Amino acid sequence: VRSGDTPILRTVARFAVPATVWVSVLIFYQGHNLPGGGFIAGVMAGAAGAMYLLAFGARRAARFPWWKVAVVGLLISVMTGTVPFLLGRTYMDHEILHFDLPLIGAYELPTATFFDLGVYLIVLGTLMTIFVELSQEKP
Amino acid sequence: VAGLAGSGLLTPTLLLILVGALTKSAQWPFHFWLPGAMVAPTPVSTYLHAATMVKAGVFLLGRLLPLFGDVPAWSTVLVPVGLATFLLGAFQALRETDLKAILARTTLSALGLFTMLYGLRLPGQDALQILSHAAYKGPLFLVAGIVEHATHTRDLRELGGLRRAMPLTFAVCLVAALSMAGLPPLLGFLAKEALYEELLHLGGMGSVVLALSVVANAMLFAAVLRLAGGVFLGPPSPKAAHAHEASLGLLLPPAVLAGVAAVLGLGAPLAEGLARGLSSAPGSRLHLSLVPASSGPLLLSLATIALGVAILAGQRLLQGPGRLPSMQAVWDWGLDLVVRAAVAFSARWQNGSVRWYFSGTLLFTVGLSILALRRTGLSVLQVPISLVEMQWYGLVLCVMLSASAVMVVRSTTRIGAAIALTSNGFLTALLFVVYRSPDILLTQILIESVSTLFILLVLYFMPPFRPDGFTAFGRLVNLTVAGAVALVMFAFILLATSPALRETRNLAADYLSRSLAEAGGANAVNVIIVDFRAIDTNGEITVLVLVALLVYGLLRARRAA
Repeated sequence: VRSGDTPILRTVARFAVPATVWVSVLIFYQGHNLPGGGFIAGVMAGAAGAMYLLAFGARRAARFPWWKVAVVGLLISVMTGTVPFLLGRTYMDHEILHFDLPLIGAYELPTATFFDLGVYLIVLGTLMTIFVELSQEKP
Repeated sequence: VAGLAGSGLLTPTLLLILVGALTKSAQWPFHFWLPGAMVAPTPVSTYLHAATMVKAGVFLLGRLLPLFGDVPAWSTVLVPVGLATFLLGAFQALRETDLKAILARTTLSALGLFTMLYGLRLPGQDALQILSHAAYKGPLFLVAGIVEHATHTRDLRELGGLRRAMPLTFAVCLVAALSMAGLPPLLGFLAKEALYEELLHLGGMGSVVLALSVVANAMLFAAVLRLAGGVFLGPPSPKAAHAHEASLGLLLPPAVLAGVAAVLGLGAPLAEGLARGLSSAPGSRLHLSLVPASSGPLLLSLATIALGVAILAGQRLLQGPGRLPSMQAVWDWGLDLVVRAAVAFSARWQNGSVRWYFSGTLLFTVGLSILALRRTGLSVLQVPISLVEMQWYGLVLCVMLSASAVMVVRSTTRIGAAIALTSNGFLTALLFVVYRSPDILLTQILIESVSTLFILLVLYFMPPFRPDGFTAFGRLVNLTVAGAVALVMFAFILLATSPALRETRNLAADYLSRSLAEAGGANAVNVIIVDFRAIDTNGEITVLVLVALLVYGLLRARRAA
């Protein structure tokens, strides 16, 4: 697929791609309490990647091994389930970690967030792999 | 064994061991490999296939008898299998014409007898029967080799009249054959008498075993005399014309073995001592004598001989062209059937039509949903429907949604269908705006955008659109599937949101109440995904990664080629 080789799209993409990625990170972060979460955030980051791909061409996007992102995500997710299992509890038995940080104060972090991070990476990696590979095909 | 009995695994354990032992000893229905394995030179066949190797399974049974003998499955399996092999081997031996094949079948028969004896828990005779078998089957195999060496054939139909050219071989063969036929004063006679003596004491179902053993022995009698007579008696055949007597080196081994059969037969006390000394259960009653102690076994022996002579006289009737289906053929046929059924099934069900797969998936879902709906015990008709809650803009959205769905189906270009599909998706997102469901709204919009991109990417590679030529029946089927899906989904959603169901099982309230307390998250949707139902999600994301790897691998490999 030829990239939409237009100055307008490139100019917009220069701002829109980082902005979308930033929003996706925010949505991921707020996901546990407000609308959002790893899946939606991953799809949003994938959409940002698609925008980049359309603006700058598949060749540049293909330099990055996206499938490895998906694999790393799966490793993170599975590890989240395996660690409690190795500690003698059931698989995927999440809990809430409490921290006392110097400046922020008391902070709660559910271990499910790590699982969600894996989901985020998997969705992003899978979408980008398919986008990049499909757009390099010749009809 | 006692520990196994408590765990309920005793019988399965025994059955698995028995399958191994029975296969090793070529028992029916695992017997068919043995005749096929008789391709080696005759001394090798004698040693491997008639003596040591197949006996290993029988030996295993003998060693296991003290351990497993009291398990009911032991006799239930071994006696019928052994008896069937005993009979079948003897019967098939009558129909073969190849010398080694005849001997192979009679070997099967003897192995069946050993198995049956262990199955009956009568180990006192094992050494005697095996000794007797070795002393006649060994020389017979070796004689078959000598005959082949002299005439270059093992086919009974091409042999005959060798008694003049090979008198010494004939003598050795005769001794061995008569021992196998169970005639006095040879070891085979003693062994058979002892067998009948033992079987007579069984009582009950033992009389069936005894009667069938007499039949099997009679068939063995006929088979071995047919073999010996066919080779050495009658007019000399063309192939036998240039035959010559075997050298001493060839003749000595069978002669020694046949001598054992004769010496032990004449010296019954010696045979008894050997049999007792070698037996795995030496304490049993075993009395060998050429002069029978009671009339029962002798009468049975006479009956065996009479029946054997009758079979020998009528054995031409068995040589007809019709063959019993061998287990080898049954096995091959079964394998072939599995393959053909799999091919037929795959060709029909995995026919490559996406529409076919999709219909199957949808109909399965419909069936499952109907089952689930019936289990609730609620009726769709009792759900109160109020159009007031819907508002006018909800109604407008529904009309537009339906219109876009119709456009998807009626469109004559791919791009038109894609645009209609996308507008359908965004209209659905609007529906979520109206009914205030921000989480699903966000998901819907994002998924819709990304899948539109996907569709456009894929459309780029698609061939030009051409309308499907559906028959009237095909249209009816499609309409039925679509209608069923629509109806069931309608009923499903109506029931799922009905107050009646919410009162009985309110999953939503349960999740909402536990979300923050147990998982530390206020967004119940996300908490369900990553915590309450995390293992489901785990499976789904694994599938996603697999898809990514497959797309990567397949498309890369195709481009590289």
